[in-house]
Amino acid sequence: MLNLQKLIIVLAWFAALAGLAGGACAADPRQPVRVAVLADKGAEAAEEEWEYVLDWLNHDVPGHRFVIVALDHPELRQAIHAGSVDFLITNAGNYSEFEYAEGVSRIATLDSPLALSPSQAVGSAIVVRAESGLTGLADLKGKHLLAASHDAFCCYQIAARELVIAGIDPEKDLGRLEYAGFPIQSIALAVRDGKADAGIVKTCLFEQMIASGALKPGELRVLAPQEIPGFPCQTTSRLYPDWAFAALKHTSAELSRKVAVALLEMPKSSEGYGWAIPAHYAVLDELFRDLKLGRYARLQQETLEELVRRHRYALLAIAVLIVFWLIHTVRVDYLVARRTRELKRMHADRQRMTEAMRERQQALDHAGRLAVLGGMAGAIAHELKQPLAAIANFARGIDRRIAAGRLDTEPLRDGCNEIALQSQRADATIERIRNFARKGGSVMQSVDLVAFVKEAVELFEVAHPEANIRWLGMAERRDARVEADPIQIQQVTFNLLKNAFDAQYAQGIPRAAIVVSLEREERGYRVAVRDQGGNLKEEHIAHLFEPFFTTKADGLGLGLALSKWIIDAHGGTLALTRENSGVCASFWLPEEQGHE
Amino acid sequence: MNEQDAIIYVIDDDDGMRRSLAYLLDSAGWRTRPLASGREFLDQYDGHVPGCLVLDVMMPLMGGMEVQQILNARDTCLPIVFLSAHGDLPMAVQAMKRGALDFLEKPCKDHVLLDAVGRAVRQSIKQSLDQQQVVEARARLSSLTSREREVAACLAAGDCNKTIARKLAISDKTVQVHRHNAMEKLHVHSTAEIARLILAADAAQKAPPG
Repeated sequence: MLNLQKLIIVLAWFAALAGLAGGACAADPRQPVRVAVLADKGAEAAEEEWEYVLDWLNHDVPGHRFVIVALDHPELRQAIHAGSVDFLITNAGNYSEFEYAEGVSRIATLDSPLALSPSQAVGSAIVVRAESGLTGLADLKGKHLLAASHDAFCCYQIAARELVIAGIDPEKDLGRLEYAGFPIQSIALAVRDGKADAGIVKTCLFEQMIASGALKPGELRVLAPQEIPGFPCQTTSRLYPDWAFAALKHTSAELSRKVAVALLEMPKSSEGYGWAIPAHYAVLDELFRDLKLGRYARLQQETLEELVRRHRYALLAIAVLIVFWLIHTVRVDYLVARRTRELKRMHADRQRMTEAMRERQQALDHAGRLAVLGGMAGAIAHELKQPLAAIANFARGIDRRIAAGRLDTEPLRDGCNEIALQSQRADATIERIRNFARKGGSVMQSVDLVAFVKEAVELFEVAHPEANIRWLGMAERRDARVEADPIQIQQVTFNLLKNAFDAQYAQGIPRAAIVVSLEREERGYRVAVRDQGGNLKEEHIAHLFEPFFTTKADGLGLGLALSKWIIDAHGGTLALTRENSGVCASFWLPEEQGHE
Repeated sequence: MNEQDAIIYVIDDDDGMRRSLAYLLDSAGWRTRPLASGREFLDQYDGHVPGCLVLDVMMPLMGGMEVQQILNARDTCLPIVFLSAHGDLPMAVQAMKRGALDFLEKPCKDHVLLDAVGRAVRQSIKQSLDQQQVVEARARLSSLTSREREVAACLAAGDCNKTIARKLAISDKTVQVHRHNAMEKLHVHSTAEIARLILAADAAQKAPPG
């Protein structure tokens, strides 16, 4: 502090020298040096209060005419911003605000008689009625508090900071925050009179009022007083620097130095006020930060930008999360799309496979018919040979009649008609074979089992006239209905008949009876074909249903395999059992659904 | 007895085939009688000759082979021409062994069938005539007394009167009387004729049936 004082003095000397040297170049003496004063108690009071200082300056800084400009807070701010004043006298809070906002710089701090030091000079005392139960700042929650004004340094802002530190937001947590304005004595009186629960006043006012008799001792007390050794007054808050004398940015350094020196040289007033070297006002930063005022005001009305800046790490984290989420979403979308594509492809594959299987089945079906047809080749040849042979006979007969001169028209025309008839018969046979061998899937329909089995038997009898087939059982039954492809069922019946007949033929008894029977079985019907062809070997039975297994010299080994395949496809069963003198081959089909 | 009297029985279960065969045979000048089954034929046949049977092998209920066996048992002289859709050699052999005249595979050339039918009819006529002779011979032989038949048999064997007399332990005179009576009854003038007559009667008895 001593060093600083010396430095200031040295500086002051330099300033004085400079002032002497450049007297002619000094500011135009006709131009008044305007000293703005914060006048929160009114312009007159302010002018009166600072007249002593102004007089001293006019006296001590020759060549300049200092005038006082008393302004309230908004006017002051405007004036400083406009640069229409050269110096500024204001409280610490106010100064700190302008130092930051307008670049004003302090050149001296008021040295008041009650202050501990210029930098620890002023605080707030929250007064309550002595008998009130309030003991701590936290007790003010929900209470009615009086303050001077929102801008008031000593009589609101300082105390407000303490409230904030105590966890009370003065603007939200109080029952009521009332700005009573100046003079602040009225605040204390209002509290005393019970108009409010508490009031914020400048430190020492309480003591002064008691001393002056405005208050009686014991009427009020200071809430949560802090112990500050050497400070003569009770205070609720910590202490802040006293008023500052500051030069504006545009004010010349020379003049500033002159004024500074003058202020420091100023004799103390009758009340004991003087000027000291400028105090450190950094403490005010903390106050404003806590209250979110002045340069920190923006904190109270945070813009998006502020928010972003203040929470940038959190935001960054959120952004990273969002990015991750986006990546995840995109990835999931991609995966879903890929999976969908895969599923679609799989579906298409399956459809293709189903289609291929259906085609294969159709081919098998077709092959089955061709195989049966192959088995019927002899019968077919016979069926075609008969009419052809008949045609040949008629033709030669006609030829012989003509050659012999027997030209009676009747027999000749008979012969011609017979030829036409026989060719029609051959054509019908061919058509029948073509229908049987036609391509196409199986056609499931409600089938009269007896009728179709009988038809197959008749077809077989045509192909094998020597076969001796007998019907047994429900031959006349017409209600044995199954869901089936009639042609396939006929194929199977034909196959079983053929096997039976071949077995008997091999045994030299082609004319032995083959018994076809239809029996009602649980939930279905069994068609059985029994022959007397004998000797089916036990070891053959296991292989009979395998394709290309045959015991016949000229057999393909497809008949039973295909029959089994067909019956299986109908949800039925094909069985082969040995009986006394031969084999019983049978197939069972489930009865038509919903049919009794 | 000649070919004009012949009746050709056509037996086939296939209508078209049966009618066409009948038409062809009719066109060739034969009298035909088409029938749908062996049973129908057996029921109707009155033993008329001459003629022949054109018989399908494969027929339901009664096949051609079965018809043949029944006819053989009845001792008729109706030759059979078999027709088969399947060239079944063992069956053909069996049929021929049993006296079938021919075994043709369907379809056959018209002249093959007509030739076979012609031969069958001629055989039928011959058989009928032969059988007629046998019947006559037997009838003539049956008019002889037992002693006269003994003497005739010896004469047919080429024995002289003396040998006969010794064999039969009778006098020569008696042999001469029997010989005279027998030749009178048989309307023959030589012992050779007697021999032929006895042979004909015996041959008919020993000949295979059909």
